[in-house]
Amino acid sequence: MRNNKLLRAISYILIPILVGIILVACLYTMAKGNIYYVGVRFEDQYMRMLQSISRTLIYYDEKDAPNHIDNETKIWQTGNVYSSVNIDTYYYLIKYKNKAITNIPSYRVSSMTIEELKNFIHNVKGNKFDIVNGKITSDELDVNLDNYANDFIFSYYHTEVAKTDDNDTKISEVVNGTTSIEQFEIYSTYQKASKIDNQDYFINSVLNVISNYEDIMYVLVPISAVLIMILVVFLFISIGHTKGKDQIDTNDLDRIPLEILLLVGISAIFMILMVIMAFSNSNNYSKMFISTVITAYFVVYIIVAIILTTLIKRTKANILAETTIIGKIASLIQKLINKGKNVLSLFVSSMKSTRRLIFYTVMYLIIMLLVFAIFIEEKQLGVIADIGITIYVFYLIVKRANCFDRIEKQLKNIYEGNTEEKLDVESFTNEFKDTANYINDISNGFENAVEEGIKSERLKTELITNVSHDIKTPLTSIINYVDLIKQENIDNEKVKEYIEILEGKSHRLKRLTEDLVEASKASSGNVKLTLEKINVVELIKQTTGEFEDKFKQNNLEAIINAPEEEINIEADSRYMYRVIENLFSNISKYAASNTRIYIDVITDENIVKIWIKNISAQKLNISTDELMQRFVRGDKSRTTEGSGLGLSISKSLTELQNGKFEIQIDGDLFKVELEFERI
Amino acid sequence: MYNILVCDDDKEIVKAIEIYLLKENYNVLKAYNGEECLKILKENTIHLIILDIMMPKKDGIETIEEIRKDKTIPVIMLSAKSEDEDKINGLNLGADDYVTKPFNPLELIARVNSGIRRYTKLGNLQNEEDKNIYRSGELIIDDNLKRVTVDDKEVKLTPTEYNILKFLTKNKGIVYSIEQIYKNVWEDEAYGAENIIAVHIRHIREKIEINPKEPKYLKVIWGIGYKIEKI
Repeated sequence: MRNNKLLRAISYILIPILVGIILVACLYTMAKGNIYYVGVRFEDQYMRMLQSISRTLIYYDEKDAPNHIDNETKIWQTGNVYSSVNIDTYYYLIKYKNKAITNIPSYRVSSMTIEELKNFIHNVKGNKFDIVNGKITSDELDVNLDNYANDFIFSYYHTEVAKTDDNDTKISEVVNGTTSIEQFEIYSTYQKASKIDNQDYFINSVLNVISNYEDIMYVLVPISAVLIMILVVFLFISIGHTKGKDQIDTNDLDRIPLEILLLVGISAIFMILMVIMAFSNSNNYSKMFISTVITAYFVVYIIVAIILTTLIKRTKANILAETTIIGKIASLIQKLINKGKNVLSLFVSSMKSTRRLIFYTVMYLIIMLLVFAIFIEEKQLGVIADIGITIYVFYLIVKRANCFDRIEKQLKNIYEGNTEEKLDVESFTNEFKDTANYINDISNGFENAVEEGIKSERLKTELITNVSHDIKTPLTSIINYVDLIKQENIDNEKVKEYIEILEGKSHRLKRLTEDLVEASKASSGNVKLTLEKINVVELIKQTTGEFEDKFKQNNLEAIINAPEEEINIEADSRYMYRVIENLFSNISKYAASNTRIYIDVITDENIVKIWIKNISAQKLNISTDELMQRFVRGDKSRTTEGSGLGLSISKSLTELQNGKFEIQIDGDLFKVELEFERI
Repeated sequence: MYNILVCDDDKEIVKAIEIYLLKENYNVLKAYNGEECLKILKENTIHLIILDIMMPKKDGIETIEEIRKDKTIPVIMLSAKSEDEDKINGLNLGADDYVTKPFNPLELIARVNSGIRRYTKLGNLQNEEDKNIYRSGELIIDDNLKRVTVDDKEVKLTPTEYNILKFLTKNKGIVYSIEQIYKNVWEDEAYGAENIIAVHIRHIREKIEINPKEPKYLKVIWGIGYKIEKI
């Protein structure tokens, strides 16, 4: 339906007709109320005329020679007294006392008596009325004239000029008496149809025709209004759309600059109006005039319709701005400004920061001076303008300083490994946008690398865990069957010795597998910590208790130096035990026999330090860093049992629990220093 | 004769366990995956199951879920998975015990014995009302006779060890630090000589626990203290 051309054409045709109906209705309603008020109402006019004539009649002196004298009454004769009334058809005869006045032509009057004149009026074709003794009698007067009769009561004066001593003229008025309608006899004809002035004849005749259709018109108007709205809305939606096309259909007309179109349209309408005006002034109301007005109305409608249609199309096709001359000029100016900006920014950005700063400073100074020069007459204004500019420049500087601060903060974030937050590049000034982008890229790269690292570490842990599971199953059989062999009666001493070796090594393998998993988990942070309050002294006492036997075997003596008070840290109970256990286990393996192990707990309000010191049995010709690495053991020969993972596990676990783990070697003195936050 | 079902996909391990169990006079039934295990369980009267986790067809986790739908027989999980989560998961699903591979044969047998005893003598609790008898699970301290038994086996303790164990069992479930234990058992102020408590506790553990490193009764909470588990 939207694309229906026929419907659109019908709309275009219907709209002016419907608008016309409404226009005519409006004009009619406006004019209808005005019919009686266009000019003076007939009754008013005519009665006033009669009144005035009556008044004159009172003053007529007998000296004035009347052109006709009845036997009892002197009759005056007047011409067309009232220009606006077509006097030819309005005959009157007014009688007052023994005086009378009439407009019946003098040649008739001269030969007629009062009675004959009355008869003459009565015999004239048309409507008549009489006023005798204040009563109006009329054949078919549809307007009540009683009010006019009452208006006839008036006073009449006699004026006298009296002379005074100082020669001033004084006028004294003497009321001679009053008179009323009863004292007059008025006979007159009138024309009922001619209620309306001659000038409005044309319009009124049209209105009269319309008035026959008044009832229909009041129904038509609301229907037309609704129809117009529907059609206009339809056109608004429909215009520009053609079947099978998504785009708005525009033609050459829609590309003519709007201003030209408007200019042509408006001047055409103006000219048409002028023509109509000329016609209406010439008083030549004819059928020709009506057809001219209607033609003009349609021409104006077509012009308006074309302009509105193209406006809608342009709006829909979003070419309204570009098809106006102003829009074209504006976009041209925009382009020029952009080009200028580009050239300037290219010029500025090609400079190094220092030169740029100098450039800006010089610019600033020049602008300051220029402004001051412009306002040289009004120095105060100049100073105010310069202060304003300076504040603005200060604002620009602060903005850039803020950018710099944010960049510095972000670099610090990245340095500290916090790569989650990114810079909002859009909020940076142009000079810093590139830098902000680079920093975000670095941050992203960093983040990815860390993620990759974590991922590969986790994969490694998973691999090690899985491999260790696979090793454990055959290992179980080995251990079990070695044990079963041991339980058989074997006489061969050599076999017994070999089995001992097998047993030892299989257990060693078991231990190694377990440690391997633990080390990989600890170093990758792949452990679940349950942090709780732990008393370090208690822990050390407990662990020393556990190792008492092993220490005794090598004649080692553990000496604990700890304060009496409770010294608490926040850690995972089991993992803390693993840390100390590994260290003690190492000591029981590598400490020189008959020596003492010193375990010192040193604390202040914030920090707890645990020193574990022992004398190594072997020479420690190895660096602490190397010692800390996985699979490295103090004795290079690797004859003692142990996986070489103990220190590495302890260090990782300590660090996971937010502690510090350090090893010091001083000759044969091996010292481990643990540090935790005290709570 | 008790029937024990051993279920593991590694035939040699099953064989080895069988040898150990036969020596202890148990009757052994063998299964090599979860489905076989459930089938044998249906057709025979079984008193205890040793169940591997990683098996083809139906793994140990699914199998124990099936078993626990209608049976309360003791199940010892046997697995190469030694992570804490694995153990907790196994026990939560209804396993009575969890032994990691490679296992110590003696430990496994001890756990089997304990499981069988608990299962067959369930509800035979005697002398519950006697004020001088303290117990937690199968750990029983008879203060009248000054006798300690675990799984019906008498344990020889020194007087000090006995006092410590009695104190902890009396107050089972509560964690005591070395100092508190010293004060309560010796009824004296601690002087630093209480270091010895940790050694005593280790000795007690070695005597009453099947695996002193993974104690069942006398638990060590590192850095905090010791307690007897409430069972």
